[in-house]
Amino acid sequence: MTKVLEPKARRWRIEYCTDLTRSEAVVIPVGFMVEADWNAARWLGMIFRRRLTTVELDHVNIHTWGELRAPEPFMKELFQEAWSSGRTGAADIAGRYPAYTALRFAPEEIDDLQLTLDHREGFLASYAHLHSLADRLTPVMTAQILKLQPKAKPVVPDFGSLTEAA
Amino acid sequence: MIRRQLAKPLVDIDEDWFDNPVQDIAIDVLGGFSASHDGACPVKLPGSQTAFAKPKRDVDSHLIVAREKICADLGRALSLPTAPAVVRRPDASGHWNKHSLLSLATLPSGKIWGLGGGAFLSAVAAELERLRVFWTWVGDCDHNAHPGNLLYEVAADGSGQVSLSAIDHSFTLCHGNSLDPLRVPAAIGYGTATLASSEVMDARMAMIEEIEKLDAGGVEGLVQRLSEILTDDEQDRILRILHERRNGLRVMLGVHPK
Repeated sequence: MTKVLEPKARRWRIEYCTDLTRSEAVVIPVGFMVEADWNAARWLGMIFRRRLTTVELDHVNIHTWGELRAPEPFMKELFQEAWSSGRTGAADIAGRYPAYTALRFAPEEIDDLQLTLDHREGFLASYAHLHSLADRLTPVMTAQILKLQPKAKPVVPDFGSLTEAA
Repeated sequence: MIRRQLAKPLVDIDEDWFDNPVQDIAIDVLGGFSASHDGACPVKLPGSQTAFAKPKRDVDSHLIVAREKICADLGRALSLPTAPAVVRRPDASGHWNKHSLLSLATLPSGKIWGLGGGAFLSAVAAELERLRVFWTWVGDCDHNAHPGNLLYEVAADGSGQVSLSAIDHSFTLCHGNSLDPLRVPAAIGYGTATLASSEVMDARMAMIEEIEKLDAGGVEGLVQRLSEILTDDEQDRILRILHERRNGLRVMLGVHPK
């Protein structure tokens, strides 16, 4: 008899800590990775900021973390690798960026994504969940807005997203 | 090359943790335990510095804690870039009901060696070889090119200087095998074992000689001051491993005997 396995979902918060030695250091949000697994089907998604602000980049050690100069191609590469490496791909990628490194994939409890055995429904739910995280990708450091115009444009997150399902 | 360089206030913590190996330290947990074998979680220290507490609570801990502390202290005695560590007593809250190990975060922008560290091999080859000799001495089997147990960073000031931090010394002192001190072979390290440059060979010999010259009483003291977590038998076993491996260091590393 085939055992029906409960679907599992995992989420990682991708962030850059500007100084690992200090607990109060500014942490720059970079993206999120979400994975849903039904054993017979799998869904992987990543949402990320295409670029960091100039002020944020001033606080990144570019000599060590040059990939953050232009996050988009770097995140795309990670996503492709996580997807093409199979069922453990996402966890393997996350494992390269543990809590004790400046760029880290921090596991988060995921209680706001309910999955059923219907993986097609789950794909849609996972996609919606991924995009609900966009609000948490607002830059944490921006240049002072100068009042040269009557109305200043609000800073909105500029993010990209990638998803795969099979 | 400056071998062990810590910025203020980390250098003060390093000194304090060396002088006072077992302490009551208030911590605030900042995140969950990692998925590694022992597990470690980030914590905030009283002065707002960051450390990593291990092992996770369902792991039998006292030998892990002792090995990490002993290796951190021996590394310090040899001016190596081992992360400073201290043994933390169980706290009254009961949340941490055993002695645990705090390992200080020392690199502000640390990255695991497995992600691009090899590009800087020539810049830090001597230091890596010194570490390899040290790991050989302490019977380490978890720094054999393990991508995550060595951290590096390139200086943010653009000088190109590379700093290292060697972490996770729980698989040392012949863990899992206390009967044969010489069973664990020479450490492989991170790419220097087969380098034939004079810089690497000089570093190897110099570190062997430093270890041979370390005061035996001092080494014993570093182990025996952990009597709060180690029995007399456990202390004797660790000291025997260190003694035998020090005597066998040249053979293990393939260099001429004294």
